[in-house]
Parts: sequence; C-alpha cells; structure tokens
Amino acid sequence: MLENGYVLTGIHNGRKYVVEKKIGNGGVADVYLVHDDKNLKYALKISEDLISITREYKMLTSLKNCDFAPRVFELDDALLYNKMYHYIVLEYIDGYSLDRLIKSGIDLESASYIFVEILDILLRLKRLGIFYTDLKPSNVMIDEVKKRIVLIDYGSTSAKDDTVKEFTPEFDRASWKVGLRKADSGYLSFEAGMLFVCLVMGKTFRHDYHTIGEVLKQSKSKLGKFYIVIIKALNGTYDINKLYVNFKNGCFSEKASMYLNYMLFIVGMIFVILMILAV
Amino acid sequence: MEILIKQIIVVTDGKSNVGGNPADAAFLAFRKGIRVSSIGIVDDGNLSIKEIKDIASSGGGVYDIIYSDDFIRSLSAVTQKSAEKTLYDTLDAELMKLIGKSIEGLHPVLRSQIVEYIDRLLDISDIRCAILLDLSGSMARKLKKAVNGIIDLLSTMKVRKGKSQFCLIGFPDGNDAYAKIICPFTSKINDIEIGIKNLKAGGNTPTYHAIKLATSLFETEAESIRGIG
Repeated sequence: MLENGYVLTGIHNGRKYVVEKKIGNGGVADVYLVHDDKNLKYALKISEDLISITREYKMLTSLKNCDFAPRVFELDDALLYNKMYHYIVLEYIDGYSLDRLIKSGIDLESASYIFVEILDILLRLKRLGIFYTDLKPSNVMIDEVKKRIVLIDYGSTSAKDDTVKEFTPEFDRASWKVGLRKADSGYLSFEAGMLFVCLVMGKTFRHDYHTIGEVLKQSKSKLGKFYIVIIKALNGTYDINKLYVNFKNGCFSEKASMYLNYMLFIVGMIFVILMILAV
Repeated sequence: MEILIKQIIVVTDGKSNVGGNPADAAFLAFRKGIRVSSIGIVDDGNLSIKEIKDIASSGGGVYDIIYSDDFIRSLSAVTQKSAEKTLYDTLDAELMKLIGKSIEGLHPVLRSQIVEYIDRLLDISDIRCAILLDLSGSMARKLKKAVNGIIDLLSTMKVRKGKSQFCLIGFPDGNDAYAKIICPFTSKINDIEIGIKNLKAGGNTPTYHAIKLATSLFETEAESIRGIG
C-alpha cells in the first residue's frame, strides 16, 4: 500500500514519517519500518479499521511500563488515496520472530528457557486482566539489542471470560475441539502448550489433519521430561500458573512425585518382606 | 442502550448466475437495517472477487477472500467485524445528533472511550444472523468444512452475554427452486445441526434470490413480534 520513500504526515499531530520498507501484515493492518526527521526508527502500523487500531493503542498505553510490550508513541490519521487511514507509531524491535527459531531448530533446554519467559509474560498480562489469546510464533519477537522477549500485536486481547476475538486455528482450543473459545486460564495454557510443541518439533500442526492424541504421540520422545505437563496443557483446562511453576522448576514436581512413588513402592515391598519373615 | 444487530453472511465459491445482481439485493437489505457481508472461497478459481466485494460494499458489511481451510477463522472474524460496524455506525449517528461530530472527527485519543464502549456493547447486544450457504455443484467438496465452520461459530457465540440467533439458508434448493430455509431463526445449536446433516450440493448459484429470501425472513420476524405486542 505505502511505497518505500513515501512521506506520511499525520492529520492531527502533524508529524512526518518516511517509509523504509514493509515489515509485516497481520489481519487488517500493515506494518512498516519508518524513520522520522531525527532519523529515529519506528514501526508504523496502519489500517482502515478505526476500532482495531484504537483498541491496540489503548491497550499499549496501559502497558507502557512493561518491557515485554512495544512502546507506543502516537495515534493519528492519514489521508491516502482519498481514504482515511488510522495508524499507531510503535517502538521498532530489532530482532527476529519465533518463526525463524522454529525453522532453524532449537534444543529442548533453550526452548524451555524461552518458553518460561513467554509464560511469565502471559501471567503478568493475566494479572492485569488481559488475556493474550492470539499467541503464535510470529507474534513473539526476540529483541537482539535489548535481549528480551516481546509479544507484539495487542489488537485482539480479551478480558476474562470474554469471547476470543481473533485467533489462529493451529493454536486455538476450540478449533482443536478441547474447549470453548473463551478467554480463561485453560485457553492460555492450551495455546502456550501448543507453542512449545511447535518450538520443539520445528513445525506447526494443523487441527484438520491431526488430533491432539497424534500430536502428543509424535512429539513424545522429543518433549522428554516435559511430556506429562504438555499433556495436561493440551487438555484445555490446565491452570497456567501450574504450567509456569512446572516449567520454571524443570518439571521438578513431576519428577519428585515419580521418585516418591518409587520410594513408597520400595518401602511397601520391604514391609511385606518383613511381615513374611516375621510370620 | 439496546441494539439488535441484524446481519446476513453470504458464503459462496462461484459467480452468481441466476437472477439479478446480488449487490442490489444487498443494498436493499442494508436500507432495511440489515448488514450484508460476504465470504468468498477461492479454491477452484471460478470465484468473482468483484462480486464478493460489491455485495459487502453495497450491503455495508465486510468481505473476506479465503481458502476453504481458513473458513472457521474467517466466519468468526466476519461476524465479529460486521457486528462492530453496526455498533460503530449506531454510535456515530448518536454522536452526530449529540455534538454534531462523527467519531472520525474526534481526536484519535478521545476515540478510545468510544471503542471501549463498543467492546462492551459487543458482548451484551443481541445478534440475529442469517448465514447463506452456496450449495451449487462446486461446493460439494467444501461443504464439510463449511458445516464445521458454522457449528464452530455457534459454539463461539454461546460465550457472549447477549442472545444470539442464527438462521441458515441454502441456495439453490435442488435444481428448480432458488433458495430454501434449512433452519429458521433459532438459538439452539441442535436445531441447526439437524438441518445441516442432510445438506446436498448441486445446481446453480442464485445469490440474488438468497439474499432476498433472507431479508424477507428478518421482516416476517419483526411483524410477528409486533403482532404479539
């Protein structure tokens, strides 16, 4: 839509931005890399849809103290080809999305390390009453400069128990038929669990070709110690707090309960043997 | 503020070839307060993208051009966006009456509150939605995905606090009739699931007549309510 080198002028605030290149499009909006007159770089997200751009602006201003969300600088209109467009100017994140990591492959330990950070962000948002329901690899950015993980795209977050506004079928609990399309803790656990499977397996699974059982079966050996927790997450009702704690401790509680079972079994056996001897 | 959101969603994979221009029927529906949106499935390449866009622009709705794999996501997004548009236009007109300014005329930052209000209304308003399903010959292979999409939409709408009623119209009805009501307005998912089970595809694409039939269905509904009152 916008050509490279185009100078965009805001109607209300009058600031000018020079378009460098298109860096993405998500649903109703396009995202461009732009710079201002001081040669500072920004990401500019532009759309005809007033509601979704305004919604995202509102959400991002409420998150301006959080380092996991891009900072938002302004909201303005621009007239292009006789049509009114609305845009927000965002902090430009110099890095790459999880898509690239999935293509290049990543080992289990690093995957779980990144995953814990993502879970931490989802939990922090949830504490603010914001359910991030469109989690997918292309929405998770790794900022190479500031060494942090950033979730982009806040145009479609939901409040607790609301209908999920936008979703990606591969990461959507309802498409996989294990629950409603409703923003709750189980929905977050499901999308996160699916993301982890994708990270580890290096590909996404489609709900119309696979069942959850098949996905689990195929990824069992690669998931290793995380297998049991992921089963629970893909169940659709798992508490995301528990998912976080389990991953944070490297599934320690799962391991511990396994060892405890062994111990009980051995103690039981010794008891039985002692009883036999006594008789 | 109580708003009843009335909308029609046309799902088709081909050119309309019987009857008048579908965009005209969409325009008439829009004049009667019913928003018409369209979803075009491009799998086979017989689809007229212009027709899909025209239906939505005359009908005041939104359109989406997709592959049949993407139907579930698209149907939910189109329903949502079209409902948003209805609420937006209603508030826009109210604002014009109150302060003589449209929402676009406000400063962008001030619009936040209006968008917040729209979001709240979106969850509590009643929605009445007619889905018009193309049953012409080429849809046969995509029918299962379309049916899954519709069932999925019904279960999604259950989450909302407002009431949602759906009606399903298939076109054509066999080789001679233009369109038939597969299931009249209902809020029970079961009713629609039963209607959907015996669907068969085959015949022409009388999109114009289908939109006409759906429009008249909204009207008889209104009359019967008036009759009771």
